[in-house]
Amino acid sequence: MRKIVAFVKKHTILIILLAISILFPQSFSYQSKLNMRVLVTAIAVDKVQEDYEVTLQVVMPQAKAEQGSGKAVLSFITEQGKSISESIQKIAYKIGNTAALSHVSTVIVGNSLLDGNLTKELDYFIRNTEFNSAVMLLIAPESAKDMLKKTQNLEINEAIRLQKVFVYKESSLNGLMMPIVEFMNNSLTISGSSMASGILISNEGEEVLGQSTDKTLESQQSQQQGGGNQNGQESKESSNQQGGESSKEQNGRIKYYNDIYYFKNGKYVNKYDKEDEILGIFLSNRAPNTGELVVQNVKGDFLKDATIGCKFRQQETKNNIKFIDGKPILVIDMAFKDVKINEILNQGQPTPALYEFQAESSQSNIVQAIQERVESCVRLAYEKAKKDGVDILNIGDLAYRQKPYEWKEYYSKTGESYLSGTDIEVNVKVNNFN
Amino acid sequence: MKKQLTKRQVLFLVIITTLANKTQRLPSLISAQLGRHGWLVFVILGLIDVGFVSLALLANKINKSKTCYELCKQTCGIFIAKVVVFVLGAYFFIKSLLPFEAIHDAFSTVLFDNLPWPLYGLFIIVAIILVCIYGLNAIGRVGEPFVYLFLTSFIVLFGLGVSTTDLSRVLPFIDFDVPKIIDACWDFCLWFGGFVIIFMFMGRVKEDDGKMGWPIIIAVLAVNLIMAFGYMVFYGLYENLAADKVNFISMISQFSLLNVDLGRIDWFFILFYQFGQFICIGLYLCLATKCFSEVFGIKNRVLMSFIVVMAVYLLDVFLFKTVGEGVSEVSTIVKYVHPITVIGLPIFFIIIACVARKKEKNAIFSNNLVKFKLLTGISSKNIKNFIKDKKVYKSCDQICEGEKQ
Repeated sequence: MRKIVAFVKKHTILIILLAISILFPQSFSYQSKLNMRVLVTAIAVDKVQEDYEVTLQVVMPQAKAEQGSGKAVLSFITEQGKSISESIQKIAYKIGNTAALSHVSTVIVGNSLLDGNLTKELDYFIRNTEFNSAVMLLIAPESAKDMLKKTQNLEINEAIRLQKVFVYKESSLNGLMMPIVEFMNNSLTISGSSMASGILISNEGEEVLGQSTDKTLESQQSQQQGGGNQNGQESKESSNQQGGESSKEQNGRIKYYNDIYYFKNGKYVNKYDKEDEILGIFLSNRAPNTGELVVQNVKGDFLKDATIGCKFRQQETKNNIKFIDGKPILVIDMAFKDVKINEILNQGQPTPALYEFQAESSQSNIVQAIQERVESCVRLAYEKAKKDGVDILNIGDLAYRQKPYEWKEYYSKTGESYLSGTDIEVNVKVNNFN
Repeated sequence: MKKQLTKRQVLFLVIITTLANKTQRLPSLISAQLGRHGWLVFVILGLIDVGFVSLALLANKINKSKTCYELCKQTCGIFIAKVVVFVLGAYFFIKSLLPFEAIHDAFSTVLFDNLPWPLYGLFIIVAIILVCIYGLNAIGRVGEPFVYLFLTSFIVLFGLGVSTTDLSRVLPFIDFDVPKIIDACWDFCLWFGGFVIIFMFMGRVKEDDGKMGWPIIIAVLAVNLIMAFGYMVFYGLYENLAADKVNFISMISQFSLLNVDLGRIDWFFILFYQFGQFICIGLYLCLATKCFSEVFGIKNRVLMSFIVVMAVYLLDVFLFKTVGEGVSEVSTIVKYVHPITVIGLPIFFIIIACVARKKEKNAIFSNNLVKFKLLTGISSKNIKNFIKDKKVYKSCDQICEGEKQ
């Protein structure tokens, strides 16, 4: 320790110079001042004919903002350009401040970009080193700009941290947080399949509950047409008023199960919009999950067509490949740990047995119902994508990684149409039930 | 010769230089060429390094407290000594381009992308010149406390990357192309062979007559194996896009802090880690300065340091205008010469160390023989017969004792 102190005393100038060389150059740049920067937290991209329309969700730091007030001003600024990069440059010029892109956590693309190859369109977000690799990709059912603007109806923390919301949703078995980098990488693999979550934000009462995103949009459009024909101006004013009121009340809601769009080699193919299909994708996602599961029509002993709600603490999925008759079979082993029954809605007369509930046969019936439900959801998702020619479960990649020689032999015979010969086997274990 | 370093400082400097060079562009460059099998380059070249660092340490053990220049001069003459030391100096000069380019990359493309590098790079140049002037003593002392911060930063960032990677993307292990791997080993050999600094530490290490020991072998092996695994982690995160992610140490932690509400706290560790590059550049250029001073007989350390460091700066600014391209261009030429340094020098130094030792032993024996003759009065002819029957004695006392028997 004494030697170190003596060294520091002797070489003070050297240490100071090293510190200056790292810290000093910052002062050359005016742009380091906070009020010259805008923090961009999300970006929406649409295509308008051949041009790109980019909307930035920005948080403007205010000089007189109180510390810890929890309020911030969200603004949305839009520009068009021949490329995404040009559009962002124009926005920076328009607002007169530096757009700090390193805080961007979400990119929303509109339906208009799905006509082309999405991996080409999103190239900017991969090459630009300002963006974090984990920036999330979301797909709006119509205009990305409109969807991004609806975030002002959310709580401010939710609005600027959509990525965290989806991280939480993914870990709770009701969302998919797909980083752009992973989306792009997946389109370059053997299977070439990639997925991204949709996003629907609607005000409280607007969503058609339990229905697909498309139904909600249809309902919204029909409502707007019905109201707009009679009192165009008034409805605009009132919706503005409502918008103003709703933004004050912040009653925007993110749909529970958003659509999952799937792509092949970057080109949009189809989407999952039914709850069972979406659940199948979430269940086969290898990220450990907690969450809730509902099984219906459970029979046995005192259970008569019962609907049972279960909560599990952890779910793990392992994928293995085996070859049968030279064809790859994906074996999905799923384990649900610490499964607890939260609710039983039984059709028969109420009975104390529902609350005593020790009979093994009833437990095994429920476990079997869970297993069947999970298998059916996963298979539904797999079959739908298979029909569209998309290897949604990445069977090709897994087969190559685990059994390269068998895979090469199989692929040499089948080529790009290898998917038709594949199948899946779902094994579900329920550990520590109730 | 003044002993400037302790054994511990030598070990820490070897760890810093061996690790710092491999954690910037190298993984992305290898992934562009080899993809999932790039970890094999770290294993193969790492094992070669381990083999030859053992030879280098053996040479140091045989050598007794002489610097490499003194050793060469004693056995081969001044001219050969100067050639060898010049080769070492040139090697360190070229090696310094690696950490220098890493600093250039980190500062100009990430930290201060709106500022002109040729201008603010001068501050860094001044700092490096000072490091060279203060010498090995200062570098060793800076490295000693810093290595803990350096390794902690590396472990934290590495741990964050391991927690989010998908290692199955590296599979299958068995499906690789041997000629491609050999080509990649040739192309990227410049990033390995950092143990050569040990030759410059010969005769400059305190304690135990300059024996630097087995911890250095373990350190070199561990660093290379960890980096092989680190490559797998990196590839598992980015797979087909790994070639585009040019800075390993800042890229591996990007997916891991999404649940944390504190922002990018990993950047603190990245910046602490990048400081290791300064130590690396300073060390290489300090050693290059010593070598060239010895070769050209320039005793003015300040002048020599200034010339060497400015040469690096001017190369970087005027010749290698594109960050990343400069070292890649240099490595295409250097790969043919690099084995001479990494493989040739350890063998050369072992040979001359053995020759020098034998010469010393012969000189000692001749000395003792003269004393023995004076003591005993035996003639030279009889002495030879005497020696044939008896073993060679190390000292006059032993010779005398043997005569009595």
